[in-house]
Amino acid sequence: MTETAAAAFVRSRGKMESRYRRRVFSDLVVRVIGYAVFAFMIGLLLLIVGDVALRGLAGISFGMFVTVGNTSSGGLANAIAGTWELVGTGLVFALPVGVFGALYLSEYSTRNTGGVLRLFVDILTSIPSIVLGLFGYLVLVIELNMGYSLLAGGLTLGVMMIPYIMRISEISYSNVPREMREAAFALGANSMQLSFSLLLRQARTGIMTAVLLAVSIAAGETAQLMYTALFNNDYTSSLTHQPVAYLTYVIWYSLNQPTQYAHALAYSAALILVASIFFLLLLSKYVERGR
Amino acid sequence: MSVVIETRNLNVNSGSQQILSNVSLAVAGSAINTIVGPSGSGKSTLIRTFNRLTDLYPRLRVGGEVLFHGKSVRDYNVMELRRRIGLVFQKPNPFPMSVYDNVAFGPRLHLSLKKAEIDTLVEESLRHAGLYDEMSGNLDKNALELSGGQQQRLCIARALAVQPEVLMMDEPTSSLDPIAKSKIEDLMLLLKEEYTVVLVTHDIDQANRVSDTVKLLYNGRMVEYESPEVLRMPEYEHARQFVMKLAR
Ligand SMILES: Nc1ncnc2c1ncn2[C@@H]1O[C@H](COP(=O)(O)OP(=O)(O)OP(=O)(O)O)[C@@H](O)[C@H]1O
Ligand SMILES: [Mg+2]
Repeated sequence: MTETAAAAFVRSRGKMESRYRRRVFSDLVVRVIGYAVFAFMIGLLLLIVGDVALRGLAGISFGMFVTVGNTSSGGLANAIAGTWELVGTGLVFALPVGVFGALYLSEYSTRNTGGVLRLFVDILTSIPSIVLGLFGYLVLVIELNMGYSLLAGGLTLGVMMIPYIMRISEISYSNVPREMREAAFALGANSMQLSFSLLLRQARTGIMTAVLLAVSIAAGETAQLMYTALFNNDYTSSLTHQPVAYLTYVIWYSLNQPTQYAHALAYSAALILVASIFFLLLLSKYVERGR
Repeated sequence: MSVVIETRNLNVNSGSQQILSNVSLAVAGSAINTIVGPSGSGKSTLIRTFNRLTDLYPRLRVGGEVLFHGKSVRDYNVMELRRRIGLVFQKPNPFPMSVYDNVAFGPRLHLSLKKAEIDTLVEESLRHAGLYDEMSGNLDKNALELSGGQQQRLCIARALAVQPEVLMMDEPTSSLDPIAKSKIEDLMLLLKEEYTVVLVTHDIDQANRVSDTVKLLYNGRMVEYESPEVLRMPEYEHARQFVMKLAR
């Protein structure tokens, strides 16, 4: 290096140093904004959950878990059972469609077919749940003559769950490293064998996370169920032609009732729902970390 | 000396780049056929045309012919072709499952075997790859917990488990220390008794130690380094340095 070049180089060190204060300051600003957002989110969450928890806990009783009710008297047992029956039915439908749809997307589809399927799935995510409910009512309840029922409600929930399961599973499949796929192909595997002996295995935790997310979202749905499952003052034991109770309906309906007890039921139902969803989300975090 | 694999005027391009140009070569049976060449010269691409792993990259266009036992690789069922021509990759890439399941993976693709039969295959393959004594009590161990050298020998065992005729090894020792490296070199010398070995390396000393034949690939072309005129051409200066180190 010539002397002048060396001198210029050393001067640039001085310039770098003079910038430290500015950089420390801008870092501080971003940090403060970050903390503020964090505090706001925590505060909001505490407010909502705290309100539900306080009022819910005040009215909740053991009896509510074991007796059936009709939104103004009795308990929540039928609504709790119905919620999980509906979500379970939806999952039985959505899980295979989502998991295999994702396999198709990641292993078999071409740029065009894959693009079209992804677009449809994304559109599905953005359909308002009331519209899905209307579809369920017209097609499943009326046209296919299922009546207000577990099957109609479950399938409608399932339609809503598919995109979550499909897209998250697809991401999990594509996270399987290229080298590993090549290793399987180099041993003589075909795409189907690759999918079943490697991808599904590797994507287990991803699929679990997707399922838990889809389930917790589905459990909180109301609109689509009002058109397809209606409500039932008792347990539901048949797949078709028998309405189903669910917690979100109790929340929505009981809150409009004039009695103290109905209000207590609504808040208890809300608490049970929020607590279960929390539990599922925590579980999914745990599953994710266990990978 | 029998020819197992042969290429005639093999060309590979990726649209923007000519990766291999007019490569014609023969791979001899029951021998270690070594391909040397600097990084980026197309060695991996070349051997990947043998088992049609290049099919996985639609952008790569393969022209010319690759023959396996005189028949175009296109005319084989690709699953059969890949079973018969095994590949050990440049970087060890065991599956994230137990040592046992890694080795059993291949056989399970091709046959429905009883547990006892798989047990035997796994043991045999690990023995061939010189890993059995180290691993015999530990077959349930996750393959990712093995050392790099052990992982590479596991990958060799995995490739051997489907009983290939040809074993291609793409710089199998490039990520290993000298001890692990010499273990794998010893192994290659043993394996050539029963298999046709194709070895890719840019380690000339290794090529000199183990090879029966050495071919030099340079910028996607086979260099006939035995003919001195070629090497006097200025564009082969770098290749010449390679050749100088090759034992004749
Ligand atoms: N799938 C692909 N698509 C596009 N280009 C590729 C592809 N595979 C290889 N190439 C290109 O072909 C050339 C040769 O690559 P290749 O991996 O065969 O070299 P190599 O001799 O094995 O090198 P190294 O010793 O570093 O492994 C490189 O320039 C690379 O960028
Ligand atoms: Mg290479």
